[in-house]
Amino acid sequence: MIILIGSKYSKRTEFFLKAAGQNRIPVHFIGWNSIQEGFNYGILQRAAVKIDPPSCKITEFGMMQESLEWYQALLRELGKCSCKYLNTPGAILDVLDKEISKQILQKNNICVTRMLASRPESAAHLLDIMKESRAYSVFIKPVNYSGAAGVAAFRINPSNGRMKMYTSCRLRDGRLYNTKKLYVLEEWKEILDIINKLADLGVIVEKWHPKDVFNGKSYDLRAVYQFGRIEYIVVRQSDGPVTNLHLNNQAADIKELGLSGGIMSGIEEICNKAVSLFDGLRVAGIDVMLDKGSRKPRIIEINGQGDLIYQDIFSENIIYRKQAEFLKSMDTGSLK
Amino acid sequence: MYKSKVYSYDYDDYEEGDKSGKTMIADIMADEEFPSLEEIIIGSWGDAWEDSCQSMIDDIVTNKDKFSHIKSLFIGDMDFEDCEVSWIIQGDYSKLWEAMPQLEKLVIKGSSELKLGNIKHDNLKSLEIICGGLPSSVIESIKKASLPSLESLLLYIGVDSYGFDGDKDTIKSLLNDSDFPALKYLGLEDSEIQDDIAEIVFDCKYISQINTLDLANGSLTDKGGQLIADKIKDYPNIKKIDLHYHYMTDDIMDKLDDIADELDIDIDLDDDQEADEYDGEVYYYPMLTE
Repeated sequence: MIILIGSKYSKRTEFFLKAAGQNRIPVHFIGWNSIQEGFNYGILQRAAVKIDPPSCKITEFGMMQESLEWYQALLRELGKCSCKYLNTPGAILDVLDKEISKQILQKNNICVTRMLASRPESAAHLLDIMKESRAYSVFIKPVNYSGAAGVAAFRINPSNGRMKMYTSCRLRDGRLYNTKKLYVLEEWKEILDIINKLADLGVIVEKWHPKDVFNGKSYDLRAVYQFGRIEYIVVRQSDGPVTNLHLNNQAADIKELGLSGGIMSGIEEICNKAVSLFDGLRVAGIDVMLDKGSRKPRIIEINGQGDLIYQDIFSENIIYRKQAEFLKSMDTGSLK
Repeated sequence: MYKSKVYSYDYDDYEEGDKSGKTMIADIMADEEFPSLEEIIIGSWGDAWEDSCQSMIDDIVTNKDKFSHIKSLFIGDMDFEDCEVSWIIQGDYSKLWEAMPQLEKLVIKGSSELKLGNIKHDNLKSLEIICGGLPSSVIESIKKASLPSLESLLLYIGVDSYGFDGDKDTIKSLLNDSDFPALKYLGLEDSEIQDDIAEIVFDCKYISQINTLDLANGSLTDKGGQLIADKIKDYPNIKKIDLHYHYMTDDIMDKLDDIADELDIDIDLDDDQEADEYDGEVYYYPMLTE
């Protein structure tokens, strides 16, 4: 039996089921809302299972944190089941933790956006870290969220103390909210208040590496890597440094960039090496930036559930079609 | 078109290596392509918010003979990925005018610590300063400049929080008291007083001699748009008006579009913006200040 765990009305579910249906592959769907206390995990035994993330409409970070902890606990429970996972719950948990995954990548000399520190206690602590490492432009990222949620690109000018922050976070009544809009902030008090709230969530601090620019916009790449190769690449363009599909940034065709064969194989190679470091990870959405100037590829982060690409689902739906076929092979025993 | 090359350090050069503004000119001169170039564009030289480009200007002056074939120079070609434009520390160009008499085009990005000194140059045809806010000291240097060949002047006026410490009288004085007999292209962009600037421009002496008026990237609203619509017919010398990035409504854009057709001129109305409303206030941000 092939099982998809996900959210009933999400695009992920709709298009995965559509892909499987087109290939006449039966899939049993289980919604996250039914995996509560008392769920019979026995149904998963010996099945081939894909785990999609639960839909989350919460925008306040305190509530998002609760939801995240619930999700992590369920993943740990699912990890105890002896079924065959497309991506194991353990692998999903590993890459969901940006601190752990970045440590693994850096330890193995994968070229990444360099983590300078993890879990600064406060804005003052962060400023100390930046001063000590002479890194005046950084990215602040919550340890456990995917996408642009809680991400802030932050700069301080060491000559005059001026600050600038690009983020989708806003404070309202003392609470931190994730919005769908990128704001540019320059008021130091507001910036430091946001950093303090982010620090409470637990963040990593990364060096801000200048991204390559195309047609006046900076961009990075979302590569969907599955079964040993890059299946699909989307170019994410932005007027600001935070590029992310969930921020409705413009996506472009990779061919437009005119990247050389050498750069393309460099991207494939870095993705290969990175994914091989995470046991149980067969499918990953890998964010790759190219250094401005040299176009040297650098991994920003890996997302164990980053396979939803609108350009693909609305055309060939190749990513989900291949996943359905792979799960079928797992289910019939030709693959484990 | 000049034969051109961009020289810019990337992250590894200045973070992991030993490159900086102090090594840039030596690296340019060591490039085998350099003798055949007419234009050099200098992008990131490293920590541009901390180290000014002064050493590069000084090195060009010191090696002026080796730069005698360079007709076009751009210092500071960076975007926000490298450095916020208002944070780029520029330098003092006073000695460059004499050192590069063959120079035809100079582009400067960033205005922090920018000094132009006494500008006297017989060949310069184009001067462009891209910044978040132009200090009045720089505007003063341009106002007093002796640039008999200057055909194109493009200045980003910017906002006070990024360095523009003048007002509409500063712009009026620049246009009334300067002397650029060859001027064909007048660009005063990226201003939060763009409507006022439109009014000042149509009252200045250059309006009868230019063929291109550039008031783009600012907070131009219907007030400025209406003024342009009312006055442009009196100046058949103007063949192109660049107003892209503006806050005009469809009505005024339609009116200007009709006028463009009627007069057979080119008016760029692209990239219309919506004002930001926050706490009951309406904000019109110029392009380089958001």
